[in-house]
Amino acid sequence: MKERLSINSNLVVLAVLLVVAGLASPYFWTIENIVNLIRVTSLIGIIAVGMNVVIISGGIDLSVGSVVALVGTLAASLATAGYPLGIVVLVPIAAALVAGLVNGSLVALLGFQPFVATLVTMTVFRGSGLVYSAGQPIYADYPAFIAFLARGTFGGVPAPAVLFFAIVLVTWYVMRFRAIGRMIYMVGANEKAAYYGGVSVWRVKLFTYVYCAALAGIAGLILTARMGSGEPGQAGVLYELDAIAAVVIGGTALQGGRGSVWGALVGALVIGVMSNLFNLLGVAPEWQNVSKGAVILAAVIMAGAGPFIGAIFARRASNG
Amino acid sequence: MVNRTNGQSTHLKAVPKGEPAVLLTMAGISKSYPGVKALSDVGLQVRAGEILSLVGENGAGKSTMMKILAGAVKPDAGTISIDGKPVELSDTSVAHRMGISTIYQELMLVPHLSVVENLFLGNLVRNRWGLLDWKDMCARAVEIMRDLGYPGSIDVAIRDLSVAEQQLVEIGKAITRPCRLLIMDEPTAPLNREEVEHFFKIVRKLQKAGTSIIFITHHLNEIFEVCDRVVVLRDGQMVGESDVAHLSESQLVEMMLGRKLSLEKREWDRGVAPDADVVLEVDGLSTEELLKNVSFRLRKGEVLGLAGLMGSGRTEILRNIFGVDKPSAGTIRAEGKRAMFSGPRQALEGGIGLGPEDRKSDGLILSMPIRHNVTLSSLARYAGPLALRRGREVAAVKDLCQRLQVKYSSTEVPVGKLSGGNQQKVILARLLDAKVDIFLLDEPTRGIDVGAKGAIFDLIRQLAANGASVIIVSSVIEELVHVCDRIICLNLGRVTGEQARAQFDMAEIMINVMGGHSEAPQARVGDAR
Ligand SMILES: Nc1ncnc2c1ncn2[C@@H]1O[C@H](COP(=O)(O)OP(=O)(O)OP(=O)(O)O)[C@@H](O)[C@H]1O
Ligand SMILES: [Mg+2]
Repeated sequence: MKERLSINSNLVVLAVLLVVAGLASPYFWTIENIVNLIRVTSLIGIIAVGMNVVIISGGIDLSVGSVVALVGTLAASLATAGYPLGIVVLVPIAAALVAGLVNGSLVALLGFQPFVATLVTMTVFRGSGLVYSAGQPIYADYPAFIAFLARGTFGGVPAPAVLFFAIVLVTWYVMRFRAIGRMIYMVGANEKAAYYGGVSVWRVKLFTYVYCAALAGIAGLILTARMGSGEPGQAGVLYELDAIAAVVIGGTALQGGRGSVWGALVGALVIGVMSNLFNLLGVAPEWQNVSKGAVILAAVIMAGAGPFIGAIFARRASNG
Repeated sequence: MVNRTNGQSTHLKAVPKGEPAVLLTMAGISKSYPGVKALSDVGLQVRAGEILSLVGENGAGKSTMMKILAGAVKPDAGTISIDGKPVELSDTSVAHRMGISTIYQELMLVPHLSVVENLFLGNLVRNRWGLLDWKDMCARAVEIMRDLGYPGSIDVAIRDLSVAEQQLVEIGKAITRPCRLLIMDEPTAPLNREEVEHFFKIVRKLQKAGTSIIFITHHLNEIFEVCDRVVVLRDGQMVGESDVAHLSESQLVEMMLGRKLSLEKREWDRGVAPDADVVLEVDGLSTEELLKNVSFRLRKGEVLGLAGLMGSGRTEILRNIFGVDKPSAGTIRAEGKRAMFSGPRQALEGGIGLGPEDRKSDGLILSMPIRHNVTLSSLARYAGPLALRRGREVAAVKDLCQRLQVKYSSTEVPVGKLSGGNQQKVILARLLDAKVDIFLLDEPTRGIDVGAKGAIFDLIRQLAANGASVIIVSSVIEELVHVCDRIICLNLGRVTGEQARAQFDMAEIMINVMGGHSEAPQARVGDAR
């Protein structure tokens, strides 16, 4: 019930934002802008869905932006070297999975704090992309399929949006109906009790980091396709913050054990609408960040504070 | 004895002359949670300087009633007055100011802070510069804790104290501020007999100093030992009150349960043949800190008790078998095969399940529904080709909750919302659902009411009769004597004695638990706790 409540208050935030955006810019509700908005939101949304899974399990993944850059760089260089489509798609995705395995192993097997582990891999992954390309962007002439990922449409709906929605549905199904989803919630809510109850905690954690990295990899492919280049240094910078913000606006508790993929969807839309509106209004990038922070704070207070305060009271009054 | 079953308890009579003054009156108190009426129209009087016991089955509403007095929960209806004047206990700080101190069912101390810091947390003493006056606080802490008979230093962190010592700190904390009414929700549940004795001394001392006390317990003998009066709740209604002096144990039980419960100890068919298969073999088990060369065998269909004080190694033995701790020496074999499990998952796959002692941190995922908690260890069984089979899960959980007499409104309620005793039953339900062959139960009856306790013992014997084996750890030796086929006594990590059912002897067990014949036994053996 609590979950549904917080989603509702996110929806209110989103609705208010949409109304304000429409009033502020006459251009906002044009087909062209909405399609563009959805395109941009899908990218952050796909990453936020993976981040949401990690955060529900009680972790965090700061390396998603670097995975986006690494995947783009690999794909661009493979495409430029003339490899067939399968290789151009699968090798970068495999690299993303390896990145997820590295994150997961550091956290689940070696016991590093998720924040520390993924802060380290954030620099390592970006660094390896830069080393691989000698620090230079790689311009690529992508095969049609990859270009379609970024620019194509299904009956007017942008391809990335379709992909995003498919990912939301799959994740919803996994988290809600599969045993692994159940265990992700249990581990996030009380890792020790889950362990005593026979849950293989390390496997669950490993799964969440690999899942998150895989989605970041897909986002990386979309981004590089859109830009027509692999940008080892520039792509995906600060994406982790947008993704985390989307998750938090979506009502997922950073301490884990609670949250839903629909929240992440709404959260991503809030972030997307905000960036879009700032661009329409021509707000300078530095002011964009400042005001984005303010709006995120407001959204978190509206969406997250209710349950949070409730939890404090529940704890105080709990008779265990 | 007044016996009220029709909820007309609102209008308590004026106190006749000669009886002590009334300190506090609660009238017409009601409180509902979604799907549960926790309290309906309950009234209660506390007289100055009395020890009042509040009793009732698990989920009867005792803790809710006390949380209302503590200002932690708001009632839906009803009035509270102190010294005849109506008060509004809108917050815990208001209750504190009125002189009401509460020790909750779960200890609320901060583990990594010291004794003195915990004592004054939320009630810090400042000097005239507005700075914390640690000198004064330490001096007062030393005095308070000495009066409570606490032997240690006030600078030790709480997590390094035994539960009994922590309990003393809780009391100390309650009396750092002027306290007219002290509420204690199941304070004796984790204590052993000696600790309870000491605890009662302190309670009587507080009473002499004029403090009124409300004391909740599921150990009925404790009521007859220290309490003046008892108020009985059943299903959120006040069903009776009486002076303890005019009451027998069976009358009390009848009031609580609404039916007679034979207090005769049940005798079960005990089917363990002396030559039954050995299912678990522990050989020379030792750990760095505590256990020293512990060896024993467990047979098919046997119920084995581990008796010992806090820190005797009883919990450690279970943890080592279950694979959450690793022994430094020794071997464990299950069904003749080496069974040094690397963790709970492997142990459960090997047919061994543990019901841990600390239900809040190890046993349950409080924010998750009853259903998720019950099926946690057996989730694989409910996995269909596409999705978890929710219908099957719900049916299984309902069935188990009924067998264990869990009081709940829906299988989807978070376990943390159940009453303490009902949470304990959910842990048992999970083990049953995991269908293990060997049950390791650490304090399985802690906080469980008399009626349900009997049901749980019946269940344990029934499991044994069906070929399962059980190891039980309990602080209450009478319970072990009641239900076990064999008891092993532990002291400071060593086995100090072993008795089969035919030779059970409380005195002997107590002596062994205290360290054996070499040390002069201090234990007073006799009436049941
Ligand atoms: N926060 C809550 N939300 C929902 N239901 C609650 C909550 N707190 C208590 N209840 C319900 O109210 C009823 C009374 O609970 P309470 O904790 O007062 O029982 P109790 O008499 O203390 O039992 P026990 O002996 O097991 O500690 C129970 O059915 C419980 O499930
Ligand atoms: Mg209680």
